[in-house]
Amino acid sequence: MVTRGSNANPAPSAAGLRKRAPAGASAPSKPAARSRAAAPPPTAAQGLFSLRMYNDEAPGIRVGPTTVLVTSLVYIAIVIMLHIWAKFR
Amino acid sequence: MGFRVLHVVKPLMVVVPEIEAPARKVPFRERMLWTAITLFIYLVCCQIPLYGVANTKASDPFYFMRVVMAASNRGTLMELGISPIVTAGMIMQLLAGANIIEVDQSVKEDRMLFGGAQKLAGLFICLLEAVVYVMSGMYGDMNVLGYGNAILIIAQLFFAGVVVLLLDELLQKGYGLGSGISLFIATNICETIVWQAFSPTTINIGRGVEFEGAVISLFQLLITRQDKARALKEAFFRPDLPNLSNLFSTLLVFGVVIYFQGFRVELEVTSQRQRGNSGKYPIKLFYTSNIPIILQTALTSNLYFMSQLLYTRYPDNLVVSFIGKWASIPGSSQLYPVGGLAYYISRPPTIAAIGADPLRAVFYIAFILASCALFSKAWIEVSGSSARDVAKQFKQQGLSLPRKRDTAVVHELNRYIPFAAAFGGMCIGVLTIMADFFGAIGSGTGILLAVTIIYQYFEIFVQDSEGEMFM
Repeated sequence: MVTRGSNANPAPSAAGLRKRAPAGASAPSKPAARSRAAAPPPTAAQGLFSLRMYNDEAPGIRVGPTTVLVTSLVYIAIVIMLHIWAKFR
Repeated sequence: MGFRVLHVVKPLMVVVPEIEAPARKVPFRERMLWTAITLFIYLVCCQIPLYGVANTKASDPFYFMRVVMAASNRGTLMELGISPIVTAGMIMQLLAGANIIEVDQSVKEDRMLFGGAQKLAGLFICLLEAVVYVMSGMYGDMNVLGYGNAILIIAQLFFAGVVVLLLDELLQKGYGLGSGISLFIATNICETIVWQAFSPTTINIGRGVEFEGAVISLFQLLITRQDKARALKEAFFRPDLPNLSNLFSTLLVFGVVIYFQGFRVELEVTSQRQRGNSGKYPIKLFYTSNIPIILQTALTSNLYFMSQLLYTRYPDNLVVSFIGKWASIPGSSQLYPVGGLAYYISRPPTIAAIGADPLRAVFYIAFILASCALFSKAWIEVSGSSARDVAKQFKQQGLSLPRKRDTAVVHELNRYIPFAAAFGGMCIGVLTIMADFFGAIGSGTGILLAVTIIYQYFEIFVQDSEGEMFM
């Protein structure tokens, strides 16, 4: 399941072309820049949740990574507190 | 025209949490850090027991999924683990594959809505599973628990599902490496392997005190026994506990899978933007990687789950017993399939069982191969990596096959991609069965998942650290 970077697809091949380009090409930087700007193509072995590329206007509550971290830790803390509270009740 | 399910659920998606995409590319070191944090949170959740549980001795309906994916821990916050997310993924895919949900993968909005609907389905299934778990008396009788505790348990399980969903998305959106689900699966399986090899726990199952870990027990046997040859033999072939032959077959499976990962057809592609430049486009044998087994496991374990619940409630119903009959082996409360469809698609536990019922073994093998091939073929359509999609990407990147017109590219790719998907899926199936046959630690499916995931991570590391250097 997994990820964008993974195998079976144009991403590595594009990288291969890019690397090869400077060797023979007269203007190496231009096409490299162009291909990097293009959105990475979807891959066969991509995750069951391949939302990465079209998330710009997806509806939903926006959360940042720090929020996720804090929420998870608070959740863990609450459950631990419940256990402690149950011990001393 | 037609009934668009996706647009009906659109208003509901407002409540689904969505990770903000990073504004710029997150540096490699920072992504490593986020990956480590994610793993840490997950592992902590795997250790904290659920609050308000009366007992956990009842038969575990998800036992078979736990054996395979291992990404959940009995009685802890990760009781459900990744199963709701994987199940949602599977169901949505089947629905899209059967055209019950119309998704036009080339329309951006459709893809976005499909992704959102998948998350929504994941949360819904999580809630549903939590309720079913509590209602079925998994954590003790409802009268003993009381409604307050029951609601508290459901809330804990549901929120754990939300956390897993967010962590998975966090990694996928580019803050971390790979995806949460694969990270969790691989971690758990590797933990099992290391534990079974080096566990210092001692067990007595009637042959005297033995170490559980295969390697540790080898040293113990070699030191304590007089007859070194027999000690060695026992270390390799002791029954019931992990032995050295299990360990070696695990390593063998690792090697074989990595070897097969390299099998590929390379198509010559030329760039139209720059004359004279050519490259290779690889089509791997494992085109869809481990997706087929993940989906196949999700399918069977959900079937077992429902079949078990139905059979314990209505054992006399004809349809229910056709789906599966269950019985516990003496000395434990865990139920095993003994009849019906569930029995024929479950793995024969021992070689003796294959001899006792060859029909089951044949049916099992046929089922694994067929389902892996079908899921693999369905996946390339859903994930947008079919011949048509690849041809479109070629066009966007200005690539073409030499001596082929643009219209012929699809045809040419169609010669390889569907074949690679179906045959690769079957190979994955065969490898799984082989791994089980050799008695690899954990289970064949688990090992295969672990190897493919680790290999993918390896590729990400290589690619990303290279990219970092060139930047």
